[in-house]
Amino acid sequence: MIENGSGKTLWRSLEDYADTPEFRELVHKEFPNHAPELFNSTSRRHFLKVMGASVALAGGLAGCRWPREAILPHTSRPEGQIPGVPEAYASCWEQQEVAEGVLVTSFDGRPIRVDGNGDHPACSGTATSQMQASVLNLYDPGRSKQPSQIVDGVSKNATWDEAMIKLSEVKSATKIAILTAPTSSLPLDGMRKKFMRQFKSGSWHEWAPLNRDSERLGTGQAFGSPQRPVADLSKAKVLACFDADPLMTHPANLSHSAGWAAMRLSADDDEASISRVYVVESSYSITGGAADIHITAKSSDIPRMVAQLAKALEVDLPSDIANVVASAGVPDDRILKMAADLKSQGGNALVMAGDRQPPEVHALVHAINVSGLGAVGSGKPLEYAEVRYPSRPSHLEDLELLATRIKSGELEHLIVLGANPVYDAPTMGGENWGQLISEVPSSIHLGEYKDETGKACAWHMNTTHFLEQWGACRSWDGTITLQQPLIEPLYAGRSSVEFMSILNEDSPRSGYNITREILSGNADSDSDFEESWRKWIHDGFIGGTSNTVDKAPGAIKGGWGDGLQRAIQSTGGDEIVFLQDHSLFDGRYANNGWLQELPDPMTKVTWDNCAIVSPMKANSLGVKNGDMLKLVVEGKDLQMPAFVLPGQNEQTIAVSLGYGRLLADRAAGRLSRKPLIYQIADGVGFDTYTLRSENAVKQGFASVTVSRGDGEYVLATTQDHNPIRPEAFMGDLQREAELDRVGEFARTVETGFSPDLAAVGQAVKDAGPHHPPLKSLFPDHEYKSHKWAMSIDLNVCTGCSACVIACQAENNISVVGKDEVATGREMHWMRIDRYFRGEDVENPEMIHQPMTCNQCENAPCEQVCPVAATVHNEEGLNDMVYNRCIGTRYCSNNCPYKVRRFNYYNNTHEPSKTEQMGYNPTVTIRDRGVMEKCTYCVQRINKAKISAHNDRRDLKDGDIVPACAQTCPTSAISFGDLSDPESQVAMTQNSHRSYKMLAELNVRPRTSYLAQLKNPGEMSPEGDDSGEKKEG
Amino acid sequence: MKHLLEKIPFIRPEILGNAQSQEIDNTSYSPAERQPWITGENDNTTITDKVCGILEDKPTFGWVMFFLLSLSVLGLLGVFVPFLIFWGVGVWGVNNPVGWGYAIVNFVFWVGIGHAGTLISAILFLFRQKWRTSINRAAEAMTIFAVMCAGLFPGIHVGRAWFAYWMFPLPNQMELWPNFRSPLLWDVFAVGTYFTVSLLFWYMGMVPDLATVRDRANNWIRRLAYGALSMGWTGSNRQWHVYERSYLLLASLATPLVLSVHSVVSFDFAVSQVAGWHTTIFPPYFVAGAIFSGFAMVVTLLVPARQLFGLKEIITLRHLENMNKVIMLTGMLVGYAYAQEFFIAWYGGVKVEKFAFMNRAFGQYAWAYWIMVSCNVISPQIFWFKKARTNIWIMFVVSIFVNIGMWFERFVITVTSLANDYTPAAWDYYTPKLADVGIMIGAFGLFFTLFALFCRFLPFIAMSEVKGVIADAAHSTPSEKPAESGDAESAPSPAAGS
Repeated sequence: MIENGSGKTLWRSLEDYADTPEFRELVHKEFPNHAPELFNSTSRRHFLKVMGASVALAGGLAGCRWPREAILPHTSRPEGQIPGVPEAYASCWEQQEVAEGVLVTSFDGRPIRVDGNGDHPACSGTATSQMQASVLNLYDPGRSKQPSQIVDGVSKNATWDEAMIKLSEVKSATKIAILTAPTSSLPLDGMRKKFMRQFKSGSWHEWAPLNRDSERLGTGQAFGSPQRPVADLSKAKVLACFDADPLMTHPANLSHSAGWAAMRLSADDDEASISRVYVVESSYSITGGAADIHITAKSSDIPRMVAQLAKALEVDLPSDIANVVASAGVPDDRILKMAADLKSQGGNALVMAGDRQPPEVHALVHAINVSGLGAVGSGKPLEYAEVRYPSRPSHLEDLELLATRIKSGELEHLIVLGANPVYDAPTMGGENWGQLISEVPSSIHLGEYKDETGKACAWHMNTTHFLEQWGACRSWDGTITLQQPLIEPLYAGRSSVEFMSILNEDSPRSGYNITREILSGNADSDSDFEESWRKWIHDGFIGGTSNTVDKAPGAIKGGWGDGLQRAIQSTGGDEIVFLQDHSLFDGRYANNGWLQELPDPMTKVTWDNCAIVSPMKANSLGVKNGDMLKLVVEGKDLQMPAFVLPGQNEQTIAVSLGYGRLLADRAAGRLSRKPLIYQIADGVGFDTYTLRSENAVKQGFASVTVSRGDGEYVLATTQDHNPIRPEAFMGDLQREAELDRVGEFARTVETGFSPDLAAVGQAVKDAGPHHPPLKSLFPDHEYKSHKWAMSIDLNVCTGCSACVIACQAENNISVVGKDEVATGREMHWMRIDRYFRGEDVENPEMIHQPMTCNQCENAPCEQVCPVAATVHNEEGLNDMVYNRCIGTRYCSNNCPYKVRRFNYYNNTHEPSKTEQMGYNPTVTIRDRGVMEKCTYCVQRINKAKISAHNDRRDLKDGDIVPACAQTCPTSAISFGDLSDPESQVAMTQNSHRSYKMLAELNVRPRTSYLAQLKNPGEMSPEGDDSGEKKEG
Repeated sequence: MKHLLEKIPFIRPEILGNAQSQEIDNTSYSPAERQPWITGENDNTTITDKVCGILEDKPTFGWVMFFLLSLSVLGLLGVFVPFLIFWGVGVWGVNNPVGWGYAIVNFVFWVGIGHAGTLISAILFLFRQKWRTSINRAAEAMTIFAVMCAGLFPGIHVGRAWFAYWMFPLPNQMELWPNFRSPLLWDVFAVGTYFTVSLLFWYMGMVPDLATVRDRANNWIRRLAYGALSMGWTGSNRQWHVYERSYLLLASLATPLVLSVHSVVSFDFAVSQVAGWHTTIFPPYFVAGAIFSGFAMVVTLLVPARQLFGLKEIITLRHLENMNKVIMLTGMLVGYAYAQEFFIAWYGGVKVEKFAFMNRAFGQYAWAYWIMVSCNVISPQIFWFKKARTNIWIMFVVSIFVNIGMWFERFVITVTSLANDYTPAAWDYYTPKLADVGIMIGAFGLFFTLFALFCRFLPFIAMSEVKGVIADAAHSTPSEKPAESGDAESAPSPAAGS
C-alpha cells in the first residue's frame, strides 16, 4: 500500500551525499564555477529554482521548497521521481510523547497527505484524524512567521538575526530554566543532557496538560520503577476498562484499535469467537461506545470498583493493599460477572485504567493483570517497556518546581519550548502563568503559533512544523521512529533541537546532523552507517529498537495502601471531569479548520465544547441542549452550554479541553477581519482550563456545583438537531421513529463468545423490513468490466471519525464554519451517524454507522437531475459532473441516505497561497452552486487502472484503496471489485452479516453494511450464556 | 394633499354618484325567474363606457396608491434576486436535508394560482357557463401573471442561475441533452406550454375589446398602441367567424392543460421517493388544490377591483357566490385528499410513510400543518351559509385564508417531508432567512404590479362577451334566455358600432 521507495532512496542519498566531503569534491569537479552556490541557500540559482518551481507547479505559490539538505538542481531527473506523480516519504508524528510512524504523500514538493506507516512495528498503517489533519497546520496562514519581541509593552516583529543576538545573550547567562512539552525525541534528549552539563544552574522542566503521570507513577508504585504497559488487544478475549479509552484517546489507540478489531472480526472465522469488552466510565468514550457492557459510574467511584474487582478476583496482594481492598465493600453483580469473565480466559484478559484515575488505581490494575489474571507473557495481552527518566517528578510537581524557582527571583532566563502554560496550566499559588512569566527578566517562547504563552513572553520565535524538521522519537513500544522534513521550513523556523543547539553549541548544527549523530550508535556494527541511515530514512523507523519485554517487571510491591484508601473514599455531590478533546487534543489543533469542523464522535457538536450532562441531570436542572450551565469549581465559575448525552453518569459533568483560545495578536494590533490574519481558533468554545485547578489535575476530577446559567447558546451539531428531551426520550415522535429505524439501518445481533453464524445471518435478515418484490421501471445497467463496491463493518467501527478527515484531505472538502454547520450545510462527504438504542435513556447502547454515497445501481439521484449532471458510469459509480451541474438540489432531496452535499456558497473563495499548497491536485475544487458527494475516490480508481494498464496487467484486489478505507484504524471499510468473486469486498458482501441499508427502496446500493455483534452475556448471577460455557 | 385628493379621486367620480353601481342582490334563486348576470340599467353603451373608462379616465388615487405600493414591494425582488445571484443560494435557509425551501413552495403556489384563469375561460366556456364572461379576462390575466411569478423561481432557485437555460433542450456541439427522465424537465415543458397557450388564449380573447379601445382612442399614442394590439380587427362577420372557431379550438386545447400542468408539477414530488411526496393521489389532489387557490385569488382580486372600478353591476354578487361555491367544493376535495393521505399511510403499512404523515401533523412542523388545515378545510366551510357566501367581507377574508392555507400546503409538503425522511441522522430543521421572505413578498409585488398595470391599460372585462349576456339583464325573462344562450358572441359587434 505504500509508494515504492526507489525514488526516495536515491533522492535521499543525493541529499546525504550533499554534506559529505566526497560529494562536495565531486560537485567541485563537475561544476567548478557554481559549486559554492549549490550550498548557499540565498543564491540566485536557488532563487530561480524556487521561483521556477512555484510558478510552474502552482501558479505563483509562495514556494514549493525542498528541504535544505536537498538543494541540488536536477541536471538529470532522479530515478523514480516523475513530476506530477506523488511520492510517499516515511516520517513520524508525535503526541503525548509517543511517535506514530507516518507516510507523507508529497506532490511536487508539497506534502498533502499524512497516512499511517504500515511497515512500522507499532503502527498498523492507519492514521487518526489528528495525524491526518496535521498537514493542514503546516499551511495554516495563522502560523507564526517570524520572531517578535515586546518592546516597551508593544509586540514588534523581529528577524532571526536579531533573535540570534538575543540567544547569544542567553548563552552567556547561567540561571536558565527551560520548560518544554514532553517529548520522546532522542535529539532533544541529547540536547537536554548537553544543556544540563553546560548550564550548571540550569533546570529543565516539562509540562503537558494531558499527560500519563497516573500510569507512570502507578506502575512505579506497583513495580518499584515506572513502566509503560504495552497492550496487545488482539490477545485480550475479555477486556475491562475503567475510565480508560484505549481505542481513541490513548496514545497507542491505533494499535489498540487494530488489536480489538482482530478480536471482533474473528467472529467471521470458521471457529467463530468474539471478545467481550466491559467499560466502566463516567462519560461515554469511543471504547465505551464499542463496549459489550457499558457501566456508568462516577470517576471518583471507579477506584472502589477496581478494588472490588481485585477482591472478587482474589488477587494476591501485599498485605497493606489487601487490607484496603478488603474494605472496599461488596462487589455488585456486574463486577462479579466481570471478574468471572476475566478469570475464565486463562490470562487472555486485560484490565486497563485511564488517565483520570489516580496512580494507586493504576497500581492495583497492574497487580490484577500480573498476579490476578496472569495477563503478562508471550501470547498474553500485556508487555512492559522502560520509560524515559524514571525518576522525573510528575508534570504538576515539575511545574511547581519551576514556579518556585521563578518566585525566588533568581531566574535570569525562562525558555519555553512548545509548551503553553499560560493557556493550559493551573494557577500556582494564586498566580497564573502570565504573571509568573512576567516576573522573569527575560523570557523566550519557541512555538508554531504566537499563542497565549508566546504573547506573554518577551520574545517569541517561530518553530518548525513536524513536516519541516529532522528528528527521531520513540513509538509506544519504544521503536525509534525517524522524522524527515518534507518541505523546507515555510517561515524559516528553527526546530526545538536546532534552537537548543544554538544555545548549547558554539557552532549550531542543523537538525539533520544532530539526528544523525544521535542515531549513530544504532547502526549495525558490521555495516556502513550510511547504508543503515538510508534504510532507516526509507523505512521511517529503526527495526529492533523496541524495548518491550514480555514479562512482568517484578513482583507487586506494597506501600501505596494509604493512597488507595484515599482513592476509594466515596465523595458526595457532583463531579466534573476534563476530557481530552476528540478533535483538538489539548487545544493544540484549535487553529485547524478540519478538526474544528469534525463532529465530536459522541456529541456530534462542531466548533465548540460543551458541558455534557446526563438526561436525568438535565431534567433536574431544567436544561436542554444549548442552555447555559453555570459550573463552579473551587470558587471559579464558568458558563457554558449544556449537551444532554445519554449514557453520561448522572453525577458527572464532562467538559472537554482545548477551546476558548486567543491566538490572534491583539496587542500588536494585528487582529484583522482579513481571513489571512484572523485566527480561526479565537472565540471558539469555552476555556475549561480555567476550571482545572491543581487539585483537579492531580485527581483527574473535581467537585463541581452546577446550576442553570444565563440564556442559550447555539451549538452547531451535525446530528440530533432536535434536543434529546429527557422526559420524552421514548415518547417523542421523532425519537421513536429513530429508534424504530436504527434496528434496520444499523443492525445488531447479540451473541455469546462463540457466535452461531447461521443464527446471526438469520437475525440480520430478520431485522430488515418486509417489502414486496422489487421491480424497476428502468432497464438494468449492464456492467461489463468492474463493479466497484464497498462494505462497512459496523462490528468494528468505533466512530473515531478518522475516515471523515481522510476523506476531507483527499477530496479537498471545504470547511464551512460554525454558522453554516448550524444551518445544516457541512460539506463532509462522509459522516458517522451515531445512534442510541435501548430502553434505558441513562445508559443506552451506542452504534456508529459511517454513511457516504452508496453508489446505487438504481440511483434515485440520477433519475431526477434535469440536466443529467449525475450519471451512471459503466463500472457502477454515480459520477457527478460538476461542470454540468446547475444546482437544482433535486438529487439531494431524492437521496434516501442524504449523502449529497451542496455548495451553498463559494466555499473555496480565495484561499491564501499557502493554503492552496495543501490541496490534493488530483481532485477538482468545486465551485459554488454545484452538488458534490463521495466518489469512492474515483481518482484513486483511475490512477490504479492507469498504472495497471501501463504495466500491462490486470487490476488486482487491493490495488485501489479509498482514503477512508486506507485510514480506518480497525479496517472496517473494504473496497474492491464485485465482479471478482475472490475480492475482499465480494467476500464481505457475501458474509452472513452483510445487508444493504434501505434495500426495500430498490435503489440497489453498492455499499453494504455488516451487522454489529454484541456479546454482553447474561446478567443473572449463576446463569451464563452458552458461549461462555464453551469457553470456560 | 387635499388638492391632490380632489384631483385624483379614490374612486372614479362619475361612478361615485351613480346609483347603478350599487350592490344589487341577484343571488336569489327561483326556477321560475332566473336572476340576471348583469344588474342595473346596462346596455352595450354603458358597458363599453364603464370598462373603457377604467383605461381612459385619469388614474384614481386608489389605483395610484395600489400601484406604488405594489411597485415598492416589487423592489424587494430587485434587491434580493441580485443579492441571491451574487452570493449564492446560501442566502436562503435551505440546508442539507431540506434542499428545497421557499422558492419551490412559491413556485408551486403561483402555478396553482395560475389555474383558475384558464379553468374559468376554457373549461367554463366549454361547459357554456355564461357567468364566466364577467370574470374571465381578469382571471386569465391573473393566470398569466401568476405563471410569470412561478416561472421566476425555477430560474433563480438553482445554484448556478446563469446556467438555468441548460434545462431547455437546446442543440449544442457537445450533443448534451437534458435528462428526459427528470420531472423537473417535464415541468419546463408543462409550465412552458401552459403559459404559451394561456397567453395566446387571453390575448386572442382580448382582440375585439382592444379594437373597441382603439376606436375610442383620443390621442395618437393610444391609437398606435391599441391599433397594433388589436391587429386590424374590424368586427367583420368573417373575423367573428374565424375568431369564434379559434377561440373554441384554443379552449379545447387549454382544457387538458389545466389538468396537466399541475399534475406534472405534482410529479416533481410524486415521482421522487421521499416519504410524504411519493403518493399517487398527488395529481388530482394538486389540481383540486390549484383550482381552490386560483378561485380564492380571483375573489381576492375582484372584490376590491369591482369596488374600486365601479364594476359591481358587471361582477355581481352572483358571480362571487358562484366562485365561493367552487371554493367550498374544492376545499372539501383538498380536505378529502388530506384525509386520504393519512389513510393510505396507515393502510399501506410502510413505516417510513406512516411516520412522515404523523410527523407532518404532530412533529416539528405541526404548526404549519394545522394552519393549512384550518385555512383550507375549516375556513371555507362557512360558505355553507348563504349569508357568508354573499357577504363581501367574509368572502374576502376567507379567500385570504385560503391563499395562506394553500401556501402552507406547499410548505408542508415540501419542507416537512424533506426535513425528516429516511435517515434520522440527517434530519434537520429548515428556518427561512431574510432573502427567503424578501423574495416571497417580492413575487407578490411583481404579481400585483402587473395586475395593476393590466387594470389600467387593458380592458378589465371581456366587453364583447359581457354584452352577449346583457340580454339577461335587459330582458330578464326566462323565456328569452335560451334563445340568447350559446351564441352570445354573435351579438352585433359593439366595437364596430361605437
